[in-house]
Amino acid sequence: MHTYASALALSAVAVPAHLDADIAVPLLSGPQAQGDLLVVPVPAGSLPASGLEPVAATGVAVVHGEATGNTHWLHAGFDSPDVRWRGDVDGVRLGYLLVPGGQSALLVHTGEHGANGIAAGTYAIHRKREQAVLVDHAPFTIVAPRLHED
Amino acid sequence: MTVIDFVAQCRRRFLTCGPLPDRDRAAIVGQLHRAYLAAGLAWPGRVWWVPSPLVGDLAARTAAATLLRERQRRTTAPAGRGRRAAVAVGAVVREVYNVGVAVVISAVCGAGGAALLAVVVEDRQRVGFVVFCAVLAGLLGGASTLTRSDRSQRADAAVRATHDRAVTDLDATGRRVLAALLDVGVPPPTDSTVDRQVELACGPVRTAVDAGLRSMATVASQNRRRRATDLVRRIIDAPEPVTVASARVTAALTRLATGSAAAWRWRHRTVAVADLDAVATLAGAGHVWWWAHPEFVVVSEPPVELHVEYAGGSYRPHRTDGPAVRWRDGLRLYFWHGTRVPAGLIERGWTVDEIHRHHNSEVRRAAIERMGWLTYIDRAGLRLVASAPDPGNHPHELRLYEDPRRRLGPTRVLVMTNGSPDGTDRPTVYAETVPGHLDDPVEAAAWQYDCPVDVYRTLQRRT
Repeated sequence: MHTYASALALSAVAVPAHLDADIAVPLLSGPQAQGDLLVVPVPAGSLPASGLEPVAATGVAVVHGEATGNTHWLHAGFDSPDVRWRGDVDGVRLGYLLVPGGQSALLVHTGEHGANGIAAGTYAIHRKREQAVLVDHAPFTIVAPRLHED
Repeated sequence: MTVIDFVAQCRRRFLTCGPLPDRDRAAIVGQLHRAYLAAGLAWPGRVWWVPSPLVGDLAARTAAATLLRERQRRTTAPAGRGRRAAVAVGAVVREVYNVGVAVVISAVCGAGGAALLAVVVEDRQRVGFVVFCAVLAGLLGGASTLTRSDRSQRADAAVRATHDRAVTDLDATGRRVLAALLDVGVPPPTDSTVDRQVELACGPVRTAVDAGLRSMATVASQNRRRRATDLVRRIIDAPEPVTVASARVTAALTRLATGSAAAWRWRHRTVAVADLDAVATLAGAGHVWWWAHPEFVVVSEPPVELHVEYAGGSYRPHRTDGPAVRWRDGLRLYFWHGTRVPAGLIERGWTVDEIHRHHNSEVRRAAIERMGWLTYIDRAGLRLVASAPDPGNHPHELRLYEDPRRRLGPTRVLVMTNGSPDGTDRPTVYAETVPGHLDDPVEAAAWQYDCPVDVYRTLQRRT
């Protein structure tokens, strides 16, 4: 199992102050979130039939935040040569992740979010969306002075 | 150098500001010269540099209109004194006729009204009364016609027509020269991929700043007016430009050398090292505004300050603590993430009332962002709809707010707490907009990720 120190070292990131460097990164197979990203389990059948590539040792930059300059990196865990990823952007979805049985993957953030461990399973990674708001024009109204009761 | 490196270099050049070195000025003027010739126009030889595009616009339009009026006056003058006298007499006669008609009509109306009144009142002195009213009405009618003089209205219309025509001519010349410049019938050539990349990267800044300039209604500064007037006077007093004959010959030769096949080949050749300087200057010239006219060229200096951010593959103007674009003469434009906003919003911030009084919805949205949604929620009196524990993020809560006055339309605001403490002094609580039909904060959070809410409720961990 990776510790925070070893996981973040994969992307050459220092351990943030609020994390203990030697604690193991929990490996989870349910939904988990890292900042604006959500790792959501999906049925194995919904994964695309082809295009899933092995994750290189240097990792996959899942998304790069232009405003913050921070990146979410996807890495394979220890002894996990068959972790596969396919970038497949559709709406909020960024791509699909396949972690075979007995193996693991890591989602590492270069900013404050630290690392998330991903156990065996099939997942999609989603980002966030916002509701477009049309801010209304409220014409100036004159408010009648309130009468004070003495 | 690869194309990518070169585009990066062009971008950097586009975005660096400061006084234009003489070499760059000469290069820009040289390009415009070649563009004129390629467009089949004589090079006017008069190039006037102005400190900002607003001065440039005012000066170019005024100069064009003035030159047009001069030309009209020169072509109609030879009429001779006799003709001029006849025209003047005719104008006076027309004037007297108009006033006379007004007086007569007013007098008749006055008399009629007075007669009616006298009948009703049964006044013995009715004849005198009627005459008095007629005279008064006649005087008033005549006076009002004189002041609302037909002649001054016609003069107004004439000036406006001249100005409109001058502006049309100016625009037409500009389009012609621009077409010639882009047509690459004139070197320096650019590989179309490079062109596209530079345009993609820097175009939005130019467009945003152009739009900002166009929407500035009046030139308020006295300095700028004075500079524009000086410029016009200098243009009119300057000596005659290059004779037309030789320019036509040069133009013909240039067209011959850069015929369509040659231009195509030129356009598609690879960017050689020797061309890089020339192309970089073109990219630099991209942030210089110019106005082309057959008899002069006005070129504005680039801004002395330009603050941008990189978003979605291109640059856009943005600055949170001052003007995003500033010219030497003090002209300033303020931008928030590419939206042009009034100076007050950036310099001191707006109250909620001020936000909702503004007429532009994009500016209103920018203003709320600048204030911060959390502050806005507080000051605008948004109402808490519901709160719920944030799945996987114990002990934090999700809170959902709405505007009781419905100023945000069908939208609600979700307030969340970051799963990890932020190392900087930025707050870890933040707000984002969600659709207004969702009543449950957890549903709203799930909507943000487009995740089924029952799956989202089982979130195990949030970092």
